[in-house]
Amino acid sequence: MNCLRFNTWAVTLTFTQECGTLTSHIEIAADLDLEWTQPSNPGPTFISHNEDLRPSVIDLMFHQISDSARSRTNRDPDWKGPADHIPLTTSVILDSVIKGVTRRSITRGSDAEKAFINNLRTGVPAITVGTLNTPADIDRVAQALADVFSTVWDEHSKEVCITKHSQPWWDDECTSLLSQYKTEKLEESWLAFRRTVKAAKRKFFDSRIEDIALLNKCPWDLMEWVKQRKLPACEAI
Amino acid sequence: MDDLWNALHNTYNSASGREVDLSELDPLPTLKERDWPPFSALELTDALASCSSRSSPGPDHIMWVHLKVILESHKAIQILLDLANACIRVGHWPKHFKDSISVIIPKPGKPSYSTPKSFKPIVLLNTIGKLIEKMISNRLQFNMIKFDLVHPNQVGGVRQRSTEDAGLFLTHLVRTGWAKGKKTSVVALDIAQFFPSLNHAMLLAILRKQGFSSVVTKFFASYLVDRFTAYMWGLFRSGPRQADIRVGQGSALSPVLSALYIAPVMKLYHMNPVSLKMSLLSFVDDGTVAAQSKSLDENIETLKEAYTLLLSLFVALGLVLEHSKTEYFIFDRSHSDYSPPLDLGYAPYTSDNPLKPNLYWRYLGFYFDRKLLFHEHVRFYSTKALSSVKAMKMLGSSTRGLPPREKRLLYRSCVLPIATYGYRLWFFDGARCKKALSSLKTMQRKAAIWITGAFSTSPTGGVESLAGLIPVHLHLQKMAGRANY
Repeated sequence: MNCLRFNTWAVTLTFTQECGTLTSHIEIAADLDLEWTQPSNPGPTFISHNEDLRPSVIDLMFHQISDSARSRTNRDPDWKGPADHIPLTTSVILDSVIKGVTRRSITRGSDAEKAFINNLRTGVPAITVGTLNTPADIDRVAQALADVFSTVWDEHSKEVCITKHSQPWWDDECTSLLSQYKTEKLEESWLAFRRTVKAAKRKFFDSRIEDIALLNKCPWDLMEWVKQRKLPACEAI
Repeated sequence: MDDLWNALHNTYNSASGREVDLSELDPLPTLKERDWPPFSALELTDALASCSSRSSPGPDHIMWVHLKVILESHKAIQILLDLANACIRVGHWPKHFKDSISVIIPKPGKPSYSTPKSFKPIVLLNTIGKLIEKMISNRLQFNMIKFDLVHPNQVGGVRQRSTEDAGLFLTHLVRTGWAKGKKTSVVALDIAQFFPSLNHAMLLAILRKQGFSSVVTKFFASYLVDRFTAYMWGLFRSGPRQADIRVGQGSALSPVLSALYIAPVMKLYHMNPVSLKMSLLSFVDDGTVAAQSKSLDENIETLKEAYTLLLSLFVALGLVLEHSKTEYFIFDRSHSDYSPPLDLGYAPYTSDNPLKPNLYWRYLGFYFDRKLLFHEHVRFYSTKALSSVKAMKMLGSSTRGLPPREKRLLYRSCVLPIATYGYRLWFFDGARCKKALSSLKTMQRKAAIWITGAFSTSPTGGVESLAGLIPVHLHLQKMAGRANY
């Protein structure tokens, strides 16, 4: 953080009393849950090329208050090189694993979906109804239906990771050819991959067009393709 | 994240604990109790056939397409029928069907998205439960029409009554007024958070009044309580929360139940002597009061009176009017543009800041103007249709993509209905609509050129006839002729 210039570079713990500007900066940072951490080897962070000017401290490092005790800040004069600023290094503690957003799903028109439907077809009629005269009976049948649905779902759905790079036209063939290219690193396999991607895109959009025009007849769905891109609801705010 | 869920939960359940006054219903006659015969297999298949295969599945992940395949077997149909009939007979709605996900969707076109009110919750329910709800809703609809449970001026949530009927009623009222030398002023009301505000005790009392069988009332008593919902925002999801006071938006029963809920207001209003001077029209949660007299100043007095009366009726039903969204409009064909402001008497429209009419009044998708010319209305819809014609261009060119036959079908089935929405308000014998027709003609010409793949300067009549399209004015004449009976 490039922040302010001092008249004296004798940075000690007492300097906060000398400089009002710094105090106000520290207060602003405290509002944001940040705390100033002093380098373990205090000293100037800016040495001007003009030798008449005195070196000064203008770079400050702030940490989250909860982390500041654990992190260490260092001034590294050796890494300065031809520049006039001395680099500051610090360690930041990251969460051990950054989780992606995942959810379970079944791809439309896939073999998994066919098996899913087939299992439901045999599963639902197999439920025994019996007499339905009390609330408990109704709950039992409803629960039996729910159980059939959830077991079949768990059996056939798979975990997918949702990223902003997911493409609707991507298919299994693309995945296999991409992994083949990654292992072989050959130009032919790259070209084969590109060809497949192109064919997959064309197949996807042709089927979309046919879908919209012949099956569900709502060209309004296509408006999304030509409209201005909208941010997702959570980002728009 | 918890703060967000709490804020949403509190907004959508803000109506809990609101007082209602059941005695307000006393003047209404109690209808004789009717039987509720068990559901038939045909009702189930009919309800299923009308479901969209593309709609989002609920917490059980079963889509309508899947259900349609499952219910090809008679055994499965029988199980569902037994379950549905038992639910009504025993008066119990299983807990599994009460779990739902409320997906938070931004309402389009809001200037700022900083309050929870600019988002709406759409409830995703379990599919089997939805199917049974649909069957019940169809029954209720039938009852509503057959036994005259709703006032004729109530449109929306009722079968066989569309927004066009409401628009026609209003324009007819205005034009007959003009013929008698009367001017019309209207006030449109807005009910705040309509769907979440329906009170359960009140709803059950209304159902009883309207002569529904006691088993049905008992069923609804179980249906409406102990509901749990999990909120979902993008990919984030909250834990289940109790959401009692509400008829979820997204459930098949919500439009019907809300129509039944509003019905007593309409009937009570028409029992009041004020109604002789004023007409009340309602579409789900949009109410409109129209006053007619020789002078606009006189209208203002009657409007104020009716507004106060309606407000007291709505408060008794536990509904809250959003005064800031109240609109006021004047229909007057004289050359004078005198429009007296309306001092509503409720914040923010008090004597310092009275309500003034705008240039256009948008109601139920119609753009009304002071002289009922509908230029703005036609301009809006033909632009909308034109933009869809332009978007459709990516579906095929003269060489690749859709064949012309499909293109024509697409245009006829998807674009024309949009372009001609509400045509009955401005297209009738003796109407002057040359300006309106010309913008529709331009739109149809673009579509005909796209269908045939002709050069852009080809003559309109020729391309239209090659594409098999009727010229717009004749098409409207045909539809108007069919609408008369």
